[in-house]
Amino acid sequence: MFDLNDAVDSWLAKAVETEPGLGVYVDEIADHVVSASEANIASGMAPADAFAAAIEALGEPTMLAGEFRKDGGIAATLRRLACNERAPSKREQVAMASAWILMSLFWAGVMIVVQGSSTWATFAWIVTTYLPLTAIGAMMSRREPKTKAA
Amino acid sequence: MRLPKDLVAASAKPMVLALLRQGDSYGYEIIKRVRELSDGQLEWKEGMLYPLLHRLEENGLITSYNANPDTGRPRKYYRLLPDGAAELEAQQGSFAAVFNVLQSFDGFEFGGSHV
Repeated sequence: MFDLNDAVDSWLAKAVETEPGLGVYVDEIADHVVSASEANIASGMAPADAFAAAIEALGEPTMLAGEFRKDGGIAATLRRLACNERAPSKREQVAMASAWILMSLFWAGVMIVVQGSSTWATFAWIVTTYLPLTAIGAMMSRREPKTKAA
Repeated sequence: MRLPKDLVAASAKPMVLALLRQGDSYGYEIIKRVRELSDGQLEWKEGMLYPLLHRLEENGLITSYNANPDTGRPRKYYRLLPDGAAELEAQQGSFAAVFNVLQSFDGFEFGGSHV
């Protein structure tokens, strides 16, 4: 006999195996498929057909993961910060400060190793570390988040 | 008539906050409710809603908790937080300002029962 929860678990396990990025949303996706299947059953479909229709409506795991990816990643995070949609989290602030320090230490090391020809290393430090990280840092700290307004 | 993607994206956040102001809800129900309220003009994708809910939670605008519905599977419910309510008021002000400007143009009238 068809068991909806088993079918969802089995389908989801395969989906996450194919697209590990779905793992973050596994609870929501499972509940979504169950809810959609139940709505289909309520409208008169057989349970197996209801489940098949629910996962078809959700789309292929690859496509779904692609939708999730659009909303995540460094580019999307920077875009939101640039639009002042939100303030940086503590974790992001620590990551930025760490990146700044590590990159500076790296280029300081390079300059020590290539003593006597440090001009290009200084230039590389400015281009790869100082300018981009300072710009991002300024962007992250320029204003209070909108959520504190009103 | 389907709405343009950018308009859908811009309105998603205040809509989620407004829906949660009416009461706690979960992903599937939010999508269904938006579809009903818009007479099918707004078809939110799961790929858009769930990351948005996670982001709103990270930003301290909403919170989540697990509850067991009849299915026995834990369901993640979302609840509006005070910061979220304040954000919603700010967003209402912004949308009202845009609405008022658009309405001030000759021949630019809003119709329909939902406006």
